[in-house]
Amino acid sequence: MPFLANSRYLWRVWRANTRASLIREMEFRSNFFLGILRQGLWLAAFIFMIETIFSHTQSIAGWQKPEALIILALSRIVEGIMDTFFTHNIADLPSIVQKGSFDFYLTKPSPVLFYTSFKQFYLHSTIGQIGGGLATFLYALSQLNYQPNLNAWLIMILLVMTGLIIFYSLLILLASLVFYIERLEALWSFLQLITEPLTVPFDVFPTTPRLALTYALPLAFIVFVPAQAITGRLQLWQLPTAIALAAIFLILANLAWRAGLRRYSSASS
Amino acid sequence: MEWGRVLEYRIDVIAWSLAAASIPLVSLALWYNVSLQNPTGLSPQETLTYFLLVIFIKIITDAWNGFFTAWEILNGDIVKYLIRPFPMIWNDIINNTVEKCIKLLIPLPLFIFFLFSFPHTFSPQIFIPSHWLLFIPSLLLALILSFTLETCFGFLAFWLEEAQQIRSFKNIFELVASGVLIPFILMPPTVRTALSFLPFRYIVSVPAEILLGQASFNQSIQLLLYQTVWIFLIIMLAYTLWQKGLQRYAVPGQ
Repeated sequence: MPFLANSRYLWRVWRANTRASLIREMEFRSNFFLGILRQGLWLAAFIFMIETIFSHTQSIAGWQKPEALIILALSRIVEGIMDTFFTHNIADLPSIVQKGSFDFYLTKPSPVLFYTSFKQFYLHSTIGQIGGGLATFLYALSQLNYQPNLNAWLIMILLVMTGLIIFYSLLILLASLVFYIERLEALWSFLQLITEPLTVPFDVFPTTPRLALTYALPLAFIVFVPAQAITGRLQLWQLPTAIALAAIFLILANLAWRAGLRRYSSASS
Repeated sequence: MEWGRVLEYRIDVIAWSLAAASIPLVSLALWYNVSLQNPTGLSPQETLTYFLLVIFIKIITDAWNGFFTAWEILNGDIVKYLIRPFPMIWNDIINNTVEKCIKLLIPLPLFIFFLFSFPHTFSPQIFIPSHWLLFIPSLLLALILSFTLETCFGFLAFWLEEAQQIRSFKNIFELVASGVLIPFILMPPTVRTALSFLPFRYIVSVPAEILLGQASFNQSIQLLLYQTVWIFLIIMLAYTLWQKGLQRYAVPGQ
């Protein structure tokens, strides 16, 4: 079974990398704790905004306060998973290519895309973002006047996974641009542009941007659609759409990455 | 020279402006919905005008020089500025000004175009000339205040290795305290009062409040005065930090 052997090998590589990252992160302990604190502050700022909004109104675009909190919490959890595993690694690609150290990536005995995406593991994102998100999520659930059933939970988890695939693919698609335009410091800004709208119900956006963010650039499927599932708003067709979009974007991302890699010429040689 | 350098980085400059606009745009979408449902607070027009102004003011007042200053202090590159015959701060001022001009190339014409093509979508307050007379000095003061404050945060690197982390705390706190997430006028009164004691309100919210006529003439003059006092205090602080910092500074690795 070559596939099984291969994935076992990748698992071992990932474990070794993660171990090294953890040791590294623990060396800079004050930075580690400040990182967690920073994520706490960010969460507090946005909770304060939601509190203030709902002191002026009962519901916003049909969403009650606990439901709005669920979206915020879910965005924290999803972004936390992404930041823990791959966001920083992929976003660092432009500077790595520019400095020429991407050559080392190519000579490593593990797949390049795998190494680029999962090189380093960020524990403070796990604790700060996922932890804070989970706490907010549980609090928001306890404030709801209904309880989601098992089906809603399962569908939400499935949708979160397709959402993660979509986000990962978008990042790879963006990062692949570096092979064409050589310099892409702007990647971090694009990243902010993508993650910022995740925190709110997409129903608040005017029709055109909402449709664009649902189908053209399917950000809605990262956090908003899973939140619709847990709050009983999901329509049946959205589930297959999410799976199809995840598959399409993953294939596109892989094609773009491969095409880009073929064009790569080292910065120093 | 700076012009050439910034022009090379066109895509980045556009991306930075877009990213800077993303948070106020999301707040706008949220608060616009609130204003549709709640007749007591800001009207939809006022909400729209406020957040578009916030984007505009943020582009003009944004300062990021502390990021580079902190790195240069930490890795010793600051030396190359110290031996030049003019104060290091000039570099930052020039860099900042040039980048602002480039960043405004797209938003400013757009803003003016919308202002005159769809005057009814905006709050009528912003067409009053006297508001502009107060708004422009207030915007300039906000720009200076933001720049000097950022400089202070950069100088923290003389003492603390975590200066970058502290700067990112400032950036998050600024979202609330400068009125980007929540307009000051809609905050709970106690929070509003407490945040008015910090400099952040005077960087983004105050120019917008003045142009939108949320402050009367006398209040506007008072706000301008507060801005001036803050600038004075923070320049003193920056100067002290710079002097004390240099005295104890040892260049790493040299």
